[in-house]
Amino acid sequence: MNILFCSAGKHGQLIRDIKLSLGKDSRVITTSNSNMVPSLYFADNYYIVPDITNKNYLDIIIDICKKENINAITTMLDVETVLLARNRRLFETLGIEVLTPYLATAKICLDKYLMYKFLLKKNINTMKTFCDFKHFERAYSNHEISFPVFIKPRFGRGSEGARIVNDYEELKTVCENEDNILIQEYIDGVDIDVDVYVDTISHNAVSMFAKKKLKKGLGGASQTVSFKDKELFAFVGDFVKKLKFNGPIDIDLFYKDGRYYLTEVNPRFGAAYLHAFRCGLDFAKLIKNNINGIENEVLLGNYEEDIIMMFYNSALIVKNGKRV
Amino acid sequence: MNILILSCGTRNKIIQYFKKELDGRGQVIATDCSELAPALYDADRFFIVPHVDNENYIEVLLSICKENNVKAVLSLIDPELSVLAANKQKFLNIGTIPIVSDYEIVELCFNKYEMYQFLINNGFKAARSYIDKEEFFKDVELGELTYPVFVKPVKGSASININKVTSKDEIELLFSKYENLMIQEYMDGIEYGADVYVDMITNEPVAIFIKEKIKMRAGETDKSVSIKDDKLIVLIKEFVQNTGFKGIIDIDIFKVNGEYYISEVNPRFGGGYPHAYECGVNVPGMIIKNIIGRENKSIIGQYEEGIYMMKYSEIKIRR
Repeated sequence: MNILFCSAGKHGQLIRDIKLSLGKDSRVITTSNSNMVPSLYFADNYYIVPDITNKNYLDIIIDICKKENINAITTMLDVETVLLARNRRLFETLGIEVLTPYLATAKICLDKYLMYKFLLKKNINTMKTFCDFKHFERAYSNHEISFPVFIKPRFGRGSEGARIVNDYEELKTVCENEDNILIQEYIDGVDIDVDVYVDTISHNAVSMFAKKKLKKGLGGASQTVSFKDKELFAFVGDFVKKLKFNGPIDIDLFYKDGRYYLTEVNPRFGAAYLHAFRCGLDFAKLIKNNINGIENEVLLGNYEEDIIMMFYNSALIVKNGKRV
Repeated sequence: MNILILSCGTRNKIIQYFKKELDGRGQVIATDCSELAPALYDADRFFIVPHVDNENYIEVLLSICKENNVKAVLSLIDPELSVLAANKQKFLNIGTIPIVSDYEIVELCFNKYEMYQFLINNGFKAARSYIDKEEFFKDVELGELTYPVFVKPVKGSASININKVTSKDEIELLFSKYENLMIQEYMDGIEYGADVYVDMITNEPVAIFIKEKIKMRAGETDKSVSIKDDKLIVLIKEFVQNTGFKGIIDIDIFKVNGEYYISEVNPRFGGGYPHAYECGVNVPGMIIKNIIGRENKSIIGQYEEGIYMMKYSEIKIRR
């Protein structure tokens, strides 16, 4: 099986892990608009491509797919999940599985306010969220929300720009100076992250890996610890059925006083999938099964609890365009 | 010949390099105040110790050194370097060599304003700095410098909380909110990092590795490319010899209009050191040579240009 990872960015270890599980008869290809991106140099082959907004972008990706005999395509860039979803039909005619959600779902995942509205409509527990200061102010004067609040970019990538705001004046200033800010009820709970594999044939959540974040670092958790909870698996499994995902996804939740709050979904491999892989879960194998027409069975909780993962910086050395 | 690495945090690569260089001749022992420090688990042995501010801290370290036959000790975080330097003799008394510069020099490095004055007084170029905001406003009016400028704490590690400031109002606001701030001229140029090793026996700089920084994230080098620059090497040699550093240091330099400005000095392994090691500038090896009583020959400039380094995340699993 040959898989194309578009815009795999800094996720070098992810590419290494995928290669490790697919073995020698498979190839992993990556792309980026910059040659200064670690993931490129862990792949079997890589291509420097224009920015995703370039009008020729899709044609270039299609050419790469043909040249490399690609069977499945995915991306680590959130906005690109929508682009790939929009062109699902085109890829499918070439025999390529698009490992991103179907278009409507991809759009909901990208816009965190749309996701909030969706969760409300479907009665899935989440935090109160406001898309502008005016709406927030109304709720605030009705005592429906109080400080501190949590703010994050509506179309943000990762946890970039997400922070706690403690008072009214500060929030007002932030909202005046920044566009597309979401104001969210602050829940002083445990950060939870779940890696989910949604079977591309049955569209069930066939594999899940739950972990608690132990410390907040830049752009995600620095340390996580694995745990299992049937209630969480049921909550996530139920949510997954309400949308149309396809392949690996990463779900962020909070847990407080016995309740889970779903906050957002990255419809692609999560940066901390590495933890799941080291605990024995193998989404690449599940992809391979799907590509070969095999439906994966639901298998939940097949890993150990209390396994801790810690991130650290490693150094990739590149000489003449190759890893040394 | 056991080596103790303090406050190892996420610096797994440093632990790995020392293990590789010791090659069975001794153990790498690591400490941290958190058991969630991933580098602990790359060491041969580790100890969880109190926070560096704890009153018993030095006693704890000394007993680890004694009980584990530690030949040399070094730290990877700023607040600890002063503590280590101040207690140098206590370690030497029990046969452990602290790999650290003298206390006065360590303190000088952490006081950005004093470092600025030191640089200027010794004929080096440095970004113009002020602790008196009125003096700064006067110079702005005289046209000596313009906005934007940096406002940062006089003492503080890494570039966290560095604010790029564009108006007098903002400066007033920051100075009213925080104490011990410094205003620094904004350097719009190429940024270099230099990893330097000053031999502990000869006190001569024996290794200088220069990299151009490509992208910055939270003050650490994300991406860099090795370069060679004779003029910069001469400048670094002069600076290091004038100051009296010992062991490993990390220097940040800006190049603006062909002139070099020294911006910051960290008397420890810099976050970007793996680039130097992977290019053959083997500082752990030089440290080991020094602690067994042998001098290092100069390898200044002995590395390839155009080698790129990019940081990426790896993980450590604890079961």
